[in-house]
Amino acid sequence: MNYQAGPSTSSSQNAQEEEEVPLSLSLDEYARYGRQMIMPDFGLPGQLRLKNAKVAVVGAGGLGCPTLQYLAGAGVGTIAIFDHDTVGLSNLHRQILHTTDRIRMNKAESACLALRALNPKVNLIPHHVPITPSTALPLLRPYSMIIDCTDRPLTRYLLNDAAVRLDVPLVSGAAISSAGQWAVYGGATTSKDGSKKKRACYRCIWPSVLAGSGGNGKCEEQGVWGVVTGLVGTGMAGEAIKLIVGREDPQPLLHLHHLCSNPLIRTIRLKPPSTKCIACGPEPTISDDLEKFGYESFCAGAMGEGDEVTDETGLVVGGVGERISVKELDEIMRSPTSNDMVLVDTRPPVEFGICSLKGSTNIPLPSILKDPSIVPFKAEVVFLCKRGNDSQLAAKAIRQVQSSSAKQGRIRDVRGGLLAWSRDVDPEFPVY
Amino acid sequence: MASTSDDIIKNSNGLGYTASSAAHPETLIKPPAAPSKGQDTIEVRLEFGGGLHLLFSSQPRHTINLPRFVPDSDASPPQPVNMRYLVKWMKGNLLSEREEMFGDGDGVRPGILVLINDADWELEGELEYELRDRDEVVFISTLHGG
Repeated sequence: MNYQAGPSTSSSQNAQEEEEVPLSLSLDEYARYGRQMIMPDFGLPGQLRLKNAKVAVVGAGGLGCPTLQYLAGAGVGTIAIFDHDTVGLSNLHRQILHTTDRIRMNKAESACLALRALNPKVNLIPHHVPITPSTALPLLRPYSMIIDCTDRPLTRYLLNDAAVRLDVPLVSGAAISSAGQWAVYGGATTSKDGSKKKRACYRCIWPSVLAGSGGNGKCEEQGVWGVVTGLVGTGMAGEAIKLIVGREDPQPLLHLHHLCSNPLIRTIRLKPPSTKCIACGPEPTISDDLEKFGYESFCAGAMGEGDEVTDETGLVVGGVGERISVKELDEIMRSPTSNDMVLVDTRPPVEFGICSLKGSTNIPLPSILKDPSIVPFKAEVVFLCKRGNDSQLAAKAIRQVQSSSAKQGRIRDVRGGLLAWSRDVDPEFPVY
Repeated sequence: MASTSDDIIKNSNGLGYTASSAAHPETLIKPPAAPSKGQDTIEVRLEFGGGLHLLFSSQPRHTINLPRFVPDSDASPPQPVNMRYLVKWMKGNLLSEREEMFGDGDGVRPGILVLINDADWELEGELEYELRDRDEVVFISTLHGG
């Protein structure tokens, strides 16, 4: 019996790779990875390549969890996990490596616990720090592949540029709502005769961010199916493993997935690199000094139209007499004159159906903006939404209509919305 | 402002647009009728993903008929319609938003990926690609969530 491992014992036709594979497998690794090693595409050389591989996974959330799970399971030798966020209860429906008792733990750390339990044979390196233009290259330099599991345009372009500068392939995926997409960008494909062909980088395919285009939302606002991030992350892990074992697609492809489409995944042939690309083209303007590229302004407006709205913008004081607190709303609702008031909840119907205040009427913001006259007229109109942003827009629209009308009522909206209501008035009111 | 999952499922074209039509209620107008199907027309299917349907009356799929040859042209032999003609036709007949949100010169804005029969249009000749009956042309933008 000979357990000696090495590429010389295989019939690999990829022996022209100059890579050295000095490692061997331990006895239990033969058993652990046996089911994938017996496939002709894998063999012992494939497994050793996996064991030698050093990959950086950025983001341990909806995409990162399934990606990491399959990379660790397959035996990728060294996996760096970058995430500066902490586990939250609303993550768990899709971020399946994290657990209820690890809420508030750093996500990279939590993912490591799960992965170590799955496969103690892999070397896991958790990083709690965010990747920024000034830190990207030093943090990512040790790795031969970058896997982008992040959720915003800024990091997507930053990771692409870092991958181009470091001359490593980038596996990049995205998912929102019931849709997702993933592809391998950068690096080079190897054809059968051994010749290399550069792949287009992320910027070649997506040279600019379309401000306010509908797909560019955040999961916390648009929602996302857990199985969609799961499928996309699994697809990304598949691409990463194919790259490592030398079985990548000969032609660069982009995969588009939608949970309710037929076919479920649609695959697109991508073009070669763009000669005008500012990252990987012949005359790049992006250098190793990534801080010089203005990522903030490049991505401005990408996540929505105009200014970003947050919990904070929902809490602004507003003009005199324009906004009330949830406590004031509570008083008005309890007062004997509450019949003179109409309380309009501007959230989408699906959210109104999840939970709502008694006596409130649901008129979604887009309907109000389209036809302000659908808001019933009363002496007092109060608008309410989840965080206090859309309600401001609704109140503003109605005030504008009133200013040119004989009907005059008092138009106000609720600071902080239903989140504030749950926090300050009724802790039993659900936060979703 | 967020759309609902129900909307997405019901109205899905499978290309991953997510925002509901409600974001641009003022643009909900019917596109003008395309030329009716006839012997000298070809049928082209258009699809929009990543939110681009918002530029086209919030309708993710359109099936249009185009003349087989560029009309009112003295070219001899007659010039088959190409992507340049289609983009121009879309601007004049289908686009429900400002032209600069879709077009850039004869082409489309950077950031919009155009696919002809599941291939990047740059592989197919881009604006010079001559359209054939039953071609499918898809316009998508990238997604960012994760």
